[in-house]
This record gives sequence, structure tokens and C-alpha cells, in this order.
Amino acid sequence: MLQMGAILLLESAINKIINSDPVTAQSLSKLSGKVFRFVVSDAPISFYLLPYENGIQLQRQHMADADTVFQGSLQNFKNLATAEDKSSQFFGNGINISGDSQLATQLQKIIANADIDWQGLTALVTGDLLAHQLANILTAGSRQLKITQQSLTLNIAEYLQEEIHTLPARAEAEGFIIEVDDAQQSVQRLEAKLNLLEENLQRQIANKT
Amino acid sequence: MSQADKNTTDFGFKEVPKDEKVKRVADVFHSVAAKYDVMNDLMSGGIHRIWKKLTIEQSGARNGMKILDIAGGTGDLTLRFARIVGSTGRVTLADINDSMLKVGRDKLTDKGAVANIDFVQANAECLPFPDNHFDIITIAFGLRNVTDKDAALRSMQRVLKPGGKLMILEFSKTNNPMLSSVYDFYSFNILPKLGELIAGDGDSYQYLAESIRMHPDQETLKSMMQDADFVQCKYRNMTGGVVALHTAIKP
Repeated sequence: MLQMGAILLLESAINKIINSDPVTAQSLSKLSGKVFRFVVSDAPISFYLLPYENGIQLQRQHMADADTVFQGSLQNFKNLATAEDKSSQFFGNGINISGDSQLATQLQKIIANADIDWQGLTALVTGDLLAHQLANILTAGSRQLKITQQSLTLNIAEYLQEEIHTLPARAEAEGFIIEVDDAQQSVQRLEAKLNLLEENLQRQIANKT
Repeated sequence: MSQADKNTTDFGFKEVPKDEKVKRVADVFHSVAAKYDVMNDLMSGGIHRIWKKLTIEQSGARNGMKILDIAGGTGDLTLRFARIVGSTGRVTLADINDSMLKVGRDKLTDKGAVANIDFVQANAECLPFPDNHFDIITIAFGLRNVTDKDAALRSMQRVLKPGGKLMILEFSKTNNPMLSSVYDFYSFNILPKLGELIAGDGDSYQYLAESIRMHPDQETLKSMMQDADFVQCKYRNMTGGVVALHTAIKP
């Protein structure tokens, strides 16, 4: 009963998103009548996804065979949900696809292009205020993480370049590269001069004999 | 004694002439039709959606099937079935009550589900469909309002294809004494007041509570299905037996 309740909530949340996104609804309607199955291999979660004209229906059981099956670990599916580039998470990242791969590609494109508002999705379960706060915490958290990550990268670079001189500074490296380029050009000019001299020498020897 | 042998029948806790039950039930549903969905959510705390969803999953419905949803009311099951059977299948929503049928038709039209749905005003006791026609028949929270349940079961058996499935979702009997007393208090003290408050009709909801108590229990309904020539008759209790899902196959 509980799992069924969760499925109903998820289904209605997804359908609300689809209803507010006509492009997704239209592309989804092309998959109407097809049966997709999602199997989480390391948790007792598996469900069928049945697209229809204006949305999707989720079921734990379905009589007909699935056209396409997506199988992966819970982590694989979590990665997929949060990934910026969703299409990269489908192939070669742990999610196995069996059955009609063309349908799989179509569904992938729809999921990748769908504009999913995580705040809205959470709001359906928790209410607006809590969702707003939760989303703020998550957004602030990820922003702080990004800043920390950036400053850490800068600090490490500075330490390696300026403090212990293990790596050259950017200007220093660029200067060095220019010098290498100059040297390379000089060597090429020298080579050309040598070739010319050699040709002249060969010609003079030929004239004498 | 079977229902066919006497001239009166139950209307809630009252005994009324058979003809009168039809009219009285009709009045109840004319009265509650507009607020039916809101009341369902309110009365069951939304759990009725889970009961119906479980019924859909157990039905084995798939693309291309013909499904009859008797006493389909506001179309909750029909909507889900219509999505599953797709453009090659067909769902028939039948209800004896035209007010309920209208509310259902408007609701389904609003949701864009029209292409593969027929709306038929029909009495479950004499269904106006050919023999061996449907793959699945469902009747959710409807059978207890039918005057002659045996006739209705035989009529369903006739229009079902051999191998087809009948599913009856209906309030039933809890066998947990704690749950029973809470449920009784709720049904006779809270439910009619909710009905009065929301739908402006306490009497109809008093009838609802009474009719649930008068409905045959799990085993009785199962044997009634066997008597109507169904096989593999079984039931599954939900929410401690507050609701039971009976299923059977036409041989």
C-alpha cells in the first residue's frame, strides 16, 4: 500500500510537469502505447512506465512485455536524475538497456530535454514553504560547494607555481612557449640556409668536374 | 433464501420494496454526483485512489483490450484503462445514474480522454451488450447498490469473453475488532456529518454507511460469484478488510 501511494504521488507529480511542458507532452504522445520498464538492481524497486497522449502512467505490474527495459543500480538512476547532461548518463554509465533501443533513445531525449523543476516536484509532497526552504538550502549548498571548489583550485595552482616553484606561472609558461616557438623557427631557417648552401656546393663541384 | 425469492430488499438498514430501492439509490447519487470525487478523497483520506490503482494493476489490462467499467461513476478506473488499452482498445463506462454519468463524461472530456471511451446508461442486472464481448469487467463500489446482485453477476458473466476477468472492488468486513470499532464510529458518527457539511446531504452518507454493513461479506460474495458460473473466484483484502477485491474468470 505504501509503495503504491508513493507511485501515485510520483505519477501525479510527473504528469503535472508534463502538463506544464507542451513540448515534452507532444514528444511523449508519440510513444503512446509503448511499455517501458525500469528495474533498480540493488533495491526492491521496479516499475512500468506507460506513456499516453498527455502524460505517463506508472505501474508496479503490467501484463504485456516491456518494449524497452532500463536496468541499473540506485546510484546510476540517482546520477541520471541529477546529471546536467542526461544523455551521457544513459549509455556507458551503468544503466543497461535491453529491447528496442530506438525507443530507448527517444525516451532518453525526452527526459534529457524535459525542464524538470525539482522544487515544484518536492512541493507536491512537502508543501510550498518547506520545498522553497529545502530548495534554497540545496541551491545555497551547491553554490557554496562550487565557490569552495573554485578557490581550492586557485589556491593549489598558486601554491605549486609561486610558493614551491614546482610549476611555472601562466605568464612564465607562455613566455617559455614563445621562446620555444622562436627557437623552432630559427632552427627551421638555419636548416633552410644549410640546404641552400649544400645545393650551391653540389653545383660548384659539378661545374669543376 | 436468495434475493430473487422475495419482493423486498435492503436499502441501508431499512427493508423496502425492490422497485423503490432503485429509485432511492438513484436519488442518493443524483444528490451526491457533483461532490462525489471530493467526498471520496475526504472520506477515505485519499486511500480510494490506492484501492483503485491496485485494481488496475491486478486487472491484467493491456493494449487493444475491450473493458467494461460498470457503475463507473466519475470515471476514475475508465480513465486509467483508456490510457492502457490505447487507440486499438475500447473502454465502456456504464452507470445506471445519468447524473453520475454526466459528471464522469465531463471529467474525462476535460482530461482529454474521449477517443476510445463509450458512455452508456445501463442497469447492471441486464447489460445491453452482446454475449462474450469484453476482456475485463470491473465494478468498483457499485455492486452493493444493485438491487438483484445475482442477476447482475449472471449478466456480467454473459457479456464477458471466455477467459475474461471480472473484478469487484467493494467495501467489505474487517475481522480486526479494534479496526471494526474505529471504523463503525467513523461510519456512523463522522461520515454523515462530513456528508452534511461538504455535500449538504447527511442522509445519503448515512445510507452509504448502512449499505456497506448490509453488503455480503467476502466469503458470501465469493460463493455468489461461483453460483453465477465463474471459476477461480478469489478475493484480496485491502486496509484490513475495509475493502476487498474479488476476482473471477469466465470459463
